[in-house]
Amino acid sequence: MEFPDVVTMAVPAFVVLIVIEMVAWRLSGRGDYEARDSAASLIMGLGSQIAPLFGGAAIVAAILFAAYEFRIFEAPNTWWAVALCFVVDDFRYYWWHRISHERRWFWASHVIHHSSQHYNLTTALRQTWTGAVLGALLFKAPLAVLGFHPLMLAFVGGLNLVYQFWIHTEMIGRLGPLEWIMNTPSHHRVHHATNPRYLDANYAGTFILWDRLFGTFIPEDQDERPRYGIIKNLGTFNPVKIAFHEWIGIARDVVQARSFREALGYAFGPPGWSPDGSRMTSKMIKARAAKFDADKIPASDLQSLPAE
Amino acid sequence: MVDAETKKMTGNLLFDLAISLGAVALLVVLSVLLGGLRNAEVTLDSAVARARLDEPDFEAEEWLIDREGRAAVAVSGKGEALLAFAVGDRIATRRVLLQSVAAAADGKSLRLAVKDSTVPVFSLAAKDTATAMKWLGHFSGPD
Repeated sequence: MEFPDVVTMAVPAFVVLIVIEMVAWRLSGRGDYEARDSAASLIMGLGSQIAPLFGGAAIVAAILFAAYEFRIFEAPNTWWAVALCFVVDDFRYYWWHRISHERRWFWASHVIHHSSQHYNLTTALRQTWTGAVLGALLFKAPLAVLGFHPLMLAFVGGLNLVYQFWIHTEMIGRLGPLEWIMNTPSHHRVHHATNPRYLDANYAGTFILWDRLFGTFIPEDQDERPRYGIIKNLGTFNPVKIAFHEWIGIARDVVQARSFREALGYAFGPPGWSPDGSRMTSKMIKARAAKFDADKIPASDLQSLPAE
Repeated sequence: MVDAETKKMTGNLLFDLAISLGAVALLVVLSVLLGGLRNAEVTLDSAVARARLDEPDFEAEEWLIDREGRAAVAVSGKGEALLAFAVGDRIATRRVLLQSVAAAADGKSLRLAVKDSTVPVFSLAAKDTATAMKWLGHFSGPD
């Protein structure tokens, strides 16, 4: 059994689907498809394919092949082993994705994918330029030790990535019984939302079952439309700033830390952690929202403040 | 032999890169043609609405709205400012300490900058010079 590069094979389909979504978006009167945001997302996607060529891909391959040498079992090269590998890898993805939201060091890479205030198929391609090596070392290498061949792992990882492309859209509503098992556009809209009640939810790649199993599932509420982006939305479309802004933030905080413990907290604590609590973690934001009921703005409030 | 193989691989990579760049350009041009270059207008309503969502516990005492609709700034009684600025067709905000904002006034224009590479340096056009100077005072503190 050979393992093709499914991501590269899917690129023409990505382009066609984006064109269809752009036109459908316009025809359905949903507003404009932000050109600068889309350009930034597409360039980030292109960069994410180029960045590994500077050494990351070789290191990841070396890690996985080395780990495979210490395999406990040996998955045969059969369709059912590939299917099993896909499910196990999706479980791996859930935890990798979850830690990518819960620890700032990993968030520094993943934040790129969430940094658009729009949610469309180009957002799917807004991918990180950093972080692959540590992810492979901590989360993929154990699968190679279990006995899945690195090429099989690369293949199912690619399939997972391709699957996740089409769920980045507002054009598709709910999908009936599929919503129970699969990650869908509805579930993933919640994941990309910054509404306090939607934070830290729906980490699944392909199977939403993991979120249901581990208590991180939140369904989309038809009465509360997701607001996309990050807690501190970026004021730039510059791809380099998008790619490295959180790393720069970590470096600045660590340099200014008053103790080793503080430095560790800034680098490996939850995003938004600060020693004096002056910044907001997602838990603090949820607590604040519960207090202020931020999502319901009385119309009267909009005219009540003095302005010059 | 190795050189030929390397050249072939490099050629393939460059070909893939050229095709990818072409696809990106095509999609961006299409989104522009479909009206994707509209800018958000920052008004009192839109700035307050966004502030209430992003920073619900920020108690604005006063707002300055850019007369060209690109940005707004509010001050609270607790030594903080809230910046609201257009990012394409969306609005983003930052809550900062007054003392962390570098401000300068030039006639009716108030220029604000913070030490955050993801926040643009922006100018707000006030209604007159006196208003710009008054707001400059918020950031400069007492003499």
